Amino acid sequence: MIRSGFAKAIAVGACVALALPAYIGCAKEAKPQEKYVTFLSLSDITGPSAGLISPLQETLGWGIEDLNSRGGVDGVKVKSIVIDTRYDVARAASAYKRHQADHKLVMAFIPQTAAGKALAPLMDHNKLSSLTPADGEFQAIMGRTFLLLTPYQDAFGATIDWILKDWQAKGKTGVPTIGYLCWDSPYGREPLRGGKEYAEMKGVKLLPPEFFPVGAADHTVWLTRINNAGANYCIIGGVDPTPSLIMRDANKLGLKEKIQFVDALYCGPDEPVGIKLHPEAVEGTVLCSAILRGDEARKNPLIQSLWTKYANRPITEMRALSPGGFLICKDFEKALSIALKDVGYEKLGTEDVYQAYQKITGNSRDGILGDCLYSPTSRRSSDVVKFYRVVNSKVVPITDWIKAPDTVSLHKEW
Amino acid sequence: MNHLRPQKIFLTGVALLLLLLPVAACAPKAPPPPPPAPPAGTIAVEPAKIDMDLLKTNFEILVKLRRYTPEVAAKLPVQLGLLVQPVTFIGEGWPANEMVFVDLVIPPDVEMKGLDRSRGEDSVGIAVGTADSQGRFEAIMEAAAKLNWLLRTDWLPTVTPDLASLKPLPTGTYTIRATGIDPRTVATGTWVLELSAPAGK
Repeated sequence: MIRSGFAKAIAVGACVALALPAYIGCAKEAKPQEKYVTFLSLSDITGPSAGLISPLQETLGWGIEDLNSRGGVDGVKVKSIVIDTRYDVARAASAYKRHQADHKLVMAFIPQTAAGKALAPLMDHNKLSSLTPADGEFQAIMGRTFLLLTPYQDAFGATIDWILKDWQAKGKTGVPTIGYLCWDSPYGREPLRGGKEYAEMKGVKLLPPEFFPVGAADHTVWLTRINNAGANYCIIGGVDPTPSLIMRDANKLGLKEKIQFVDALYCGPDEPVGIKLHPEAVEGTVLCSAILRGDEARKNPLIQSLWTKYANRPITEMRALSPGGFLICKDFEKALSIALKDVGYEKLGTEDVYQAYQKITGNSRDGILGDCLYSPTSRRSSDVVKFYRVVNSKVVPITDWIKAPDTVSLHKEW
Repeated sequence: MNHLRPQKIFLTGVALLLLLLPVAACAPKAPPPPPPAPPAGTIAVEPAKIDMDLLKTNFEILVKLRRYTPEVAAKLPVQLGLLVQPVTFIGEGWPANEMVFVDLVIPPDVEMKGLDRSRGEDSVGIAVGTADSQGRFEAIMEAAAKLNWLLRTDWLPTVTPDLASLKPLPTGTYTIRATGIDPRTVATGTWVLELSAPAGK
């Protein structure tokens, strides 16, 4: 027995020494208090396509804010990083490289086809998934890029179907002659990659496509050529006000009586933009949309509640694609929830979120868009579209949701 | 020396050992040194200097190409000549088959739309290319990049540049920074930009 005072001191010292590891050597570093994942948006906020992207980015931001206000997903918050790329591929690439190592970066939103393609090697290396609007190429060559909307070419196919029905309903025989007029850009050409083959399959006469430079002030030359070729219908595209400006010029040329114009690229005459600018000219234009529009959109409970909560302006100012941002968030919330259940927060990585996105098949979009189709064999967000017409300066529905044909699979040379 | 009994010496030793063990054994291990960064190559830009004379020459080409009437041409800023001036970034000695990112460093006193300095950004990407198997790369500067970052234009809702809003970068010698996939692989160069007429001219 050790009885001396010295021995007792030594014993106490030994106990202290044994307890020390917890405080020095073996103590773990303090962890960040808040668990979060990072969502990177390489968006155009002040550049040429800001009119299209900025409203989408705005509602995506509100969706994330709302998600965080509800405590995040199982306590994991979402940190949103938004880079204003001004529609510049080099800027997007540089910004991506800068943020690629950010804490638990698990998803990127890249609403620019060219930037997505330029970044593909880097993103593959990082196993990072991304979201892009509606280029069917990403369904044809499946990777980690998911589409937000029904592919453009599938919408083109659905438009061909609608035209054929309309033609028959008007008591016409034979098949109609159809023109195509859009931007000279990857966006403008994408619908024809599969859409053209579908038109051929259906036996309609599709005129040689007419492309005009982005930003063209006048469309008379191209419209005249389409008219002279005997078009009964003309499929148009571009981000509003472009389609409304096409209609302005078609109206000036007196073509509206002869040709039915149908916008099939989702960004056609919008109530707060082109319809407001050229109400008479756009009247009667038909729109093929992958997303709820007009009063239907404004009265949708999810849209209404989030708009009321976050937008400090009337819902009449909501743009056609604005609801898309809420949907991006809804899908992300579901996928993150699955990924967290699968592997937990500590182990969560890009691959887990990629896998989870393929498991959210059937996720409800609250009627704003068709239910989710993402799966191991699908990068399509949805396969339905809806047709509207501009009537009395309002976008009103003329069909219910219609299943769009798979035209992506018809195109062979990607 | 009777207080230095073997028992005390032994216990003191044990206590010291106990104290040292956790400190030594449980101290965080130094992370293994990262592999060395791949060596950076070179970076240069052609033309190395863009001045008003060059822009005026190019503007005349632009006017001919687009068949602008003298009246229309007279209303356009001569800096638009930049759009027909090829700008190419070239380098060699980069990791083979890897991407190279070229940024323009924006001095702190220069305003740049889209640049978020609060997030630590000091540059904008202006070109991107991929090195070949020999480590050589060439990247061109696209028209949108010239408009956005050199001429600092705004955009109209009709998706056209707002020429009335043109704010060419101030005259100066700018740093261009090329980075490989590994962020430590960095090379810099300079670029002389005189995109505005000197005051008084």
